[in-house]
Amino acid sequence: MTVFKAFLRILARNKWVILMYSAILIVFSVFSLQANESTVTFEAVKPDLCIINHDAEEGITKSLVDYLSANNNIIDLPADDPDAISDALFYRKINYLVEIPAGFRDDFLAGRNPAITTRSTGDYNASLAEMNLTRFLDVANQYLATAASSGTQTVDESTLIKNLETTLATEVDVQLTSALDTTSLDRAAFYYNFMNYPLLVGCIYIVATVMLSFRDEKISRRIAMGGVTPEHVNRILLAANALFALALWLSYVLISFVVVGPVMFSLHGLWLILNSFVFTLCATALAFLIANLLRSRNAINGITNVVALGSSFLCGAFVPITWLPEGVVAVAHILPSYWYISANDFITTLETFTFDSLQPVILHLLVILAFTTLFTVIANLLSHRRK
Amino acid sequence: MPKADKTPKTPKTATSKPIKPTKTSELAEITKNVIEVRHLTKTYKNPKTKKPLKAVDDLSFDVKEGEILGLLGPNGSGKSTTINCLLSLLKFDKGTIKIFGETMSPSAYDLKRQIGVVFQEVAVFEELKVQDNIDFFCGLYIKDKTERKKCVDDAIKLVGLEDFRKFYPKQLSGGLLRRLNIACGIAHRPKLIFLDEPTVAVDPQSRQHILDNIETLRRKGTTVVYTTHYMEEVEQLCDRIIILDKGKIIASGTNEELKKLVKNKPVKQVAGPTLNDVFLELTGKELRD
Repeated sequence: MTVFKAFLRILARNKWVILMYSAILIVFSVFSLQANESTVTFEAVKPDLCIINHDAEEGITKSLVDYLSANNNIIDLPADDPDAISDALFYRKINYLVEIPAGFRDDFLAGRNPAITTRSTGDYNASLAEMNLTRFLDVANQYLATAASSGTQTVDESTLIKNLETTLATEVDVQLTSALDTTSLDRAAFYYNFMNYPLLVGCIYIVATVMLSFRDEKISRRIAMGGVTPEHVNRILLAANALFALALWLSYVLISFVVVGPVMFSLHGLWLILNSFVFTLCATALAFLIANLLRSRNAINGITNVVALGSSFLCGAFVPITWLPEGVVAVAHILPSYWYISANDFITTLETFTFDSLQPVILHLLVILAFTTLFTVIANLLSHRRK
Repeated sequence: MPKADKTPKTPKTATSKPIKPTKTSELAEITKNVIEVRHLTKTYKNPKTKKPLKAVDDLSFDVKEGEILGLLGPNGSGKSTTINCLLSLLKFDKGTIKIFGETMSPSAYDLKRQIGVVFQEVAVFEELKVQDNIDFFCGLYIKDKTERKKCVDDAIKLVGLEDFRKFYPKQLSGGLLRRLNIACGIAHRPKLIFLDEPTVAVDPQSRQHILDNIETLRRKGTTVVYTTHYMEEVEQLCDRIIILDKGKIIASGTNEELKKLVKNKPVKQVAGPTLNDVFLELTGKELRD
């Protein structure tokens, strides 16, 4: 009890560190929720397009111009002023320029595949405009090819245009069958991914501070002269540190119910909690390993930040893993945080919870447990070597 | 236990002038030995020459109940090694150590509960307040909360830290820290206390306060083994003094007995020789590592 009381007093002395990092977790999670809420609706935009038509606006040419006009914002520019067109592209007044050559109608119907000149700003709006143009030409070419393969010598332009317009006007009803509340799950994923940081900081900082205090050579000698065995003291310290880590994890889980909301009561929430529990074990083992490696109290702050902040950045705790460069993701595989965060991302995309669908998550949990075992073994070896 | 074991053997000295304690001393009246050391030998490997180096060489001495024994010696004379061996913090090569008649070992926890140690370096938790530090170290010996609280209060009173109970060690001066260090070592009311240079780097007022505390402990019947480099402390405190050099006892006896060993009295000195004169005559004036 004496040792446990001393542990609690040391913990109380360092409570501000834990409270500060917990506050960071809550504040960032709340901010993230607001950000998510503001982006749940979106508005479709039409690219700004300029058409310079050197052909007569008749037949298939007219059909092309009409189609492009219906699916893009048409910007009129003087066809004989190349500088004005270049400026419009440079200043993003238009995203895309389509220049239809003279004789396009005849050449196209004759199957000569006339070239249409295009210029683009290269952004996603330009890609959308290009997609519209390609779609029209591909469908029209398909009808031409069909007519040619059926042995028809001349193509009936009005039939072609009619078919073309019917096809291009076809709409498909898309119904989302997913029952996932993606907004809530995204919140949960953000919270639990971000939890990687305060959990690592809390475990490493407290375990290292306590262990270094008790392992101080002068204090160790005094404890060795005490009326209890050093092994007894070590056992209580181990239990106290593990208890602290579990209490920290439990408080973060309880906060998640408030911050993230009802999704935490679902199976997704349960698996996120399980994953974070396994990761807490790993963080505690890592903290013991670091405490065994450290020689000076002055290094605690530095090493805590390097490990917690470094692995959080490298493994996608702050930004999605998909945004990280491939090289960084490859390096991140050697860190338990990667497997924890990756498992969180898997869990939030699961439609059903069967053994097959959960296999990748279980594999990730096993990898985290393997890290835990490795850290524990190395920490014990170091501890025995020191003794 | 055979009677012969309890009788202290006269130490063999490294000098050509063996010293024997006077039998008429007050100490002769005290017969019970608290510590009995026989032929203690501890060898280190010299890191430079890789040759074995005897830090403690066939050391035999006793400490009697209720006395304050001063352990003197130049740097590297084997004082700390001897104390670490006595406390089972170091393994030794040969010899026997008995404390309160029982063999001392790292697992002798019943014995350890009767021993208090105040190391030269301050050994306290920076994160714990003064009273919590004393409570922690006292708690390693005493489980009962009420009894422990009384012990902690008494220790705080003894070293005069009543006004600093809620202070953290970093907020204390050097002298106060030393007093805290002592309180942590003696709060569990041990019968035997080892004090290893407890007054290093403290001002005269704090030092006097610490010495007064040790006098108080003696009056309560506590046996004390005291090591220091300050001769005036030894003169003031110790009933008996052992001077060590190169791992051997080169002299032992009371303060007055040791002073008689100085043959060449300094010319300018009107009063008799000091313990410092004795120490320098016996151990030489050359610098030690």
